Amino acid sequence: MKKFFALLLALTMVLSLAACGGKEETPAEKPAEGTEAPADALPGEGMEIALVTSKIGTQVFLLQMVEALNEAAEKYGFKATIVECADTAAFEENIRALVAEECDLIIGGGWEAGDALNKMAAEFPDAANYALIDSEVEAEAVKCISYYEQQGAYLIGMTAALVTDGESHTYGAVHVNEGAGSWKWRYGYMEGVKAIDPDAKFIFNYTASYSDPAKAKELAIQQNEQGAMFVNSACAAGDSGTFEAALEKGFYTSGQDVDLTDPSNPYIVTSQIKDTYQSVTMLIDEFFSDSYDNSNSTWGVAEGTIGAVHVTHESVNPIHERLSEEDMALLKQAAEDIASGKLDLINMPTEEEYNAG
Amino acid sequence: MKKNDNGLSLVLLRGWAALRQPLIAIVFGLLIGAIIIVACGESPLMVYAEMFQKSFIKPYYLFSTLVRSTPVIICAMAVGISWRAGYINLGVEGQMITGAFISTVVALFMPGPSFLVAIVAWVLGMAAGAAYALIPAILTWKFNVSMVITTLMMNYVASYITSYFVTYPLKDTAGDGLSIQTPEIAEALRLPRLSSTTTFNAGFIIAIAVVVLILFISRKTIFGYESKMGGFNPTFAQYGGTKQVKVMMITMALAGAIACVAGNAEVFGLKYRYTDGMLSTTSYAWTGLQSALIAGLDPIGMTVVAIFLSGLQIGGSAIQRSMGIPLEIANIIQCCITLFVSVKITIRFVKKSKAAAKEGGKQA
Repeated sequence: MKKFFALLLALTMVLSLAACGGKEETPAEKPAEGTEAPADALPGEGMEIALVTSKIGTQVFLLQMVEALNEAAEKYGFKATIVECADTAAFEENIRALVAEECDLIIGGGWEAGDALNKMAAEFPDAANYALIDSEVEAEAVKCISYYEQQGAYLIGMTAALVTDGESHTYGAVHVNEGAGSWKWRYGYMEGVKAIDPDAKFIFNYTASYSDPAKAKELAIQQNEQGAMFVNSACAAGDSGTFEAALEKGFYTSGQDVDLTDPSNPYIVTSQIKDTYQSVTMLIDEFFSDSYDNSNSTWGVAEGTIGAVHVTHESVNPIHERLSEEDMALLKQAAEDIASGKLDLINMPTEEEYNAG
Repeated sequence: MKKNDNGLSLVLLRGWAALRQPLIAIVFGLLIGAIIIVACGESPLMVYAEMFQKSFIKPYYLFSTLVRSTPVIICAMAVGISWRAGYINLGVEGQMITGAFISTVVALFMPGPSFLVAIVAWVLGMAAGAAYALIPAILTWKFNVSMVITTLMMNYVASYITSYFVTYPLKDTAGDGLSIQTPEIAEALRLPRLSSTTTFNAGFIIAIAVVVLILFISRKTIFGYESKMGGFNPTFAQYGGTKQVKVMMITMALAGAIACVAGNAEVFGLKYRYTDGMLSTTSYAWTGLQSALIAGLDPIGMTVVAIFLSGLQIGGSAIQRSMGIPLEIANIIQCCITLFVSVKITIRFVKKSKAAAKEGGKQA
């Protein structure tokens, strides 16, 4: 036993010594890099902006925010901190710790951060600046940025009906959450489809996870079996499963958040844009301008953060062959009407009201 | 035992015996973690210094660690009490969810003076947790169903049923209604905070009280003795006249009730509402199970290990924030520790079975 302990101690020492040796070079390097930058002192020098999200993984929605934050950090010179939270309790722990560590702006990426931000902002309204992307909470100190997703979903719905071209009246969609979490998308989609095809029927299924391609694929195939020629995929990282099913079974589909059209999969007709990259960039630009305040904003097609590929956002991939020039003109007109407010998709009923009406 | 052994050295010796194996496992876990940190291109010493400073040394983070450890400690006790009696209860998570959910519902909807509401909420919740734990016990007794499977599977049943209630009838519609959670419970029902800057609350005191209670039950009561004997050797216990069914029912009910306390400490002490997945995504029950296994079911050891494992999670988040090291490093260390402890258990098992084989050979 003694020998074993001696060995263990020796091993620990050797390892820590080796570690010490390695470390001495790195801290010397880092300040050297830093001293080059503040030649013409950037406005964010010495500040810290943190982005608090759930596990990022391959979710483009979150990856875009990270990219925007890192780019802004280079532009303004602040320290960008990305905090991934593995569970619901971690959000409050991390945000609380960020407040204690005197972070200047705490951005919650997604609704999961909402409750924790709300609590912190109510408790320490002046300790930091708080912003929340893609959700709305009550605390006044939190600047909430939400979207009119229904506007983009409307364009997707129209596209779905135009692509189907009356060959089927059943339309599918795979979402993540039931209830309010997906209502804006479902409402917009249904209204968009019905604008072209008034006899439409809808099938909605839910993956209950932001990263479950296997389940999304299974659900999409089932919807196709029930007659859906178009399955709108709105299940984050699960979208790839729907796309795979579309390629195998030959039905049409659309993606979410960024341009997911792909020359190797002709069945992805379009993609609903929710530009979190631009949102974070706009937010941080505003933060470093003089006009920053805590008032909430909602951005939609008019601001360019919401839209659909080919309609409001250009793509490197060609427009699908089933969409004629007339169809495109119809879509572009709808987008213009939404942006100008002629087609009102800002005021919408709740799911309960819709079902009752 | 020699008579000239004085009390202090005896305590130290026993403490060392209880903590030796976890400590060795922790050292090895940290060593493997160090290798991975080197592979990430960082210095393990710097990372560990930051990690331990921001989990155990600086007061703010120490309190965060204690807050995180509160449900873990109580879950470890629930696991410990059933495992030491020989019942492999993997359903602490489900029992915790059921109990805490019932408590929350009572706290939200029962009218009357808050003192009374608080008592009814906690008692009903604990009763619900106990009842939920009794279902697998009854299945085992009547139909000889494997408790490992029933308890494990019933975690999902509890989780999905509460998920339904929180998503639909009990959902908080304030704000944009995206969060899947109930409204907040009244302020008078919340456990008092014991610190102005952190969330450290009376839940931790409750956790310590539960540990003391378990120590008392297992060391000083007939039930504690009977259940321990049942765990060591069921045949002997039966021969000695224990009513095994009764012991099993009481053990499981107690585990379920304690599990509910763990969930309530989180709901009433920290979150003030029931949020979908708040007790399952955080893996409190499984971290509690890990600490129970690492500490060999010793209540004091379980408490220490539970605080240590929670500290790893708090420290893991801290190094992510300040040094950009992925959160998974802390998980790797935690899993390595558990792995090394199970290696020890396996070696002992292999030794035992080899010895048994030898003896068998001699006899034949």
